[in-house]
Amino acid sequence: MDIMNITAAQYVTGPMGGDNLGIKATIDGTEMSVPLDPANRHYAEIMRQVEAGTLVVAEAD
Amino acid sequence: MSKARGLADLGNVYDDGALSNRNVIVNGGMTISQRSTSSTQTGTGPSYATVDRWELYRNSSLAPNITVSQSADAPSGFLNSMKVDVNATATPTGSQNFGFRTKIEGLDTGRFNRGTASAETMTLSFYVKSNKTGTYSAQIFDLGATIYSKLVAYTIDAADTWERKEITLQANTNSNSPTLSSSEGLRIAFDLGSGPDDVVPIFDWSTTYGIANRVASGQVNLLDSTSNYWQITGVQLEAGDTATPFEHPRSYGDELARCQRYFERWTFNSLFDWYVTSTADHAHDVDCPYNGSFAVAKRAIPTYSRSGTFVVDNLSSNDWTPKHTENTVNFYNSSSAAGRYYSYNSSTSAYFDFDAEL
Repeated sequence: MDIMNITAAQYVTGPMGGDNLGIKATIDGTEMSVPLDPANRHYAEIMRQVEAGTLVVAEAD
Repeated sequence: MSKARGLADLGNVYDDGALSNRNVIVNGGMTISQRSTSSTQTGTGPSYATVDRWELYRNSSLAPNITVSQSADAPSGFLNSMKVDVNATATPTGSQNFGFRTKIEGLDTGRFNRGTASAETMTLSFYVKSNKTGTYSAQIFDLGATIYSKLVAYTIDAADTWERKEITLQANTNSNSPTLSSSEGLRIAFDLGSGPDDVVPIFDWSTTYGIANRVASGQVNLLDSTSNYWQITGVQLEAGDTATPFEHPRSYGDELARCQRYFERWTFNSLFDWYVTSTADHAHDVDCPYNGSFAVAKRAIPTYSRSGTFVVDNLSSNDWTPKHTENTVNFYNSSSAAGRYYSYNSSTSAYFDFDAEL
């Protein structure tokens, strides 16, 4: 399996806080904003790595 | 291919139900390259380096040093090919794999009647060229509740010569619940070097290996010389047992739009593109001049990334965050301070990327 290198994953909220809107993460060296869409390949890979216990997504600030 | 042969093939494919829109491969002619026309790759893992819809795969820590480019060297009737040049030698070990693949959305595969006893035979055709002759592998994946794959081999017979390959894929008539949604339905992987653990005899549709890569006995290791290169274009996958002439897109614009369902880059060619003044009322999103609609609705809500330096005054961080859908993108800033906001691009080569690849 070819695996994305994902680091520094953290949920982000909207301008007034509240619900999480996405995940900011560094993927293969590039900072990305990943939507919470199961059909998005980056989100799917983040969730796969979380379930595998190899990645933790930090709560939003 | 002679005109008589082409007409005969088209007559044959008429019986298979499609005289146009036969090819389910997007950018099989390698004409679209939104990200870059050349990229040196030294990492591992999957990467879309240059030509749209063609993903470089490297796994199990294999990190080949290669240059991937959109080349103007192509067979007669084509403008482009995708080319791989080897910059440093390597020998894949264990289960390491290296190659290129394209993924086909399930929504585009209805014509194949996948997962049923009446599934269609498919035919894969392409033009390929390399200095390195020998056996190469292609693996076709049929994804659904159960993942099937089929391994085929082709040979490059003459060095430095464009050759056309036509491979008929016996129908996968196994009962399955195939992916027919906007997720991945079919995958075609062209291997260019794999470790010995993944070398097997070619096989028909099988669940044995799941989504894992396998290669045929004798598979070439393209990485064994820095003189090696491999090029491909004119990739076509169609229903039926006959390879018809490559179906060129109606226009460059049409093919670009097909690619933009999966990836779209917004480029900005001048400084100070985005000067915005806003009275900060953070009960609302701050209006940004680069809010807008995508050229093409995306397959899924895309991932956003950017390149270039974006200077933002009166904000504690140089940051704009997207809040977008498959159709539109809106940015907001995370500051809670009142004031006026100025954002401008300090690079003439800055861009935003929106990635909804499979």
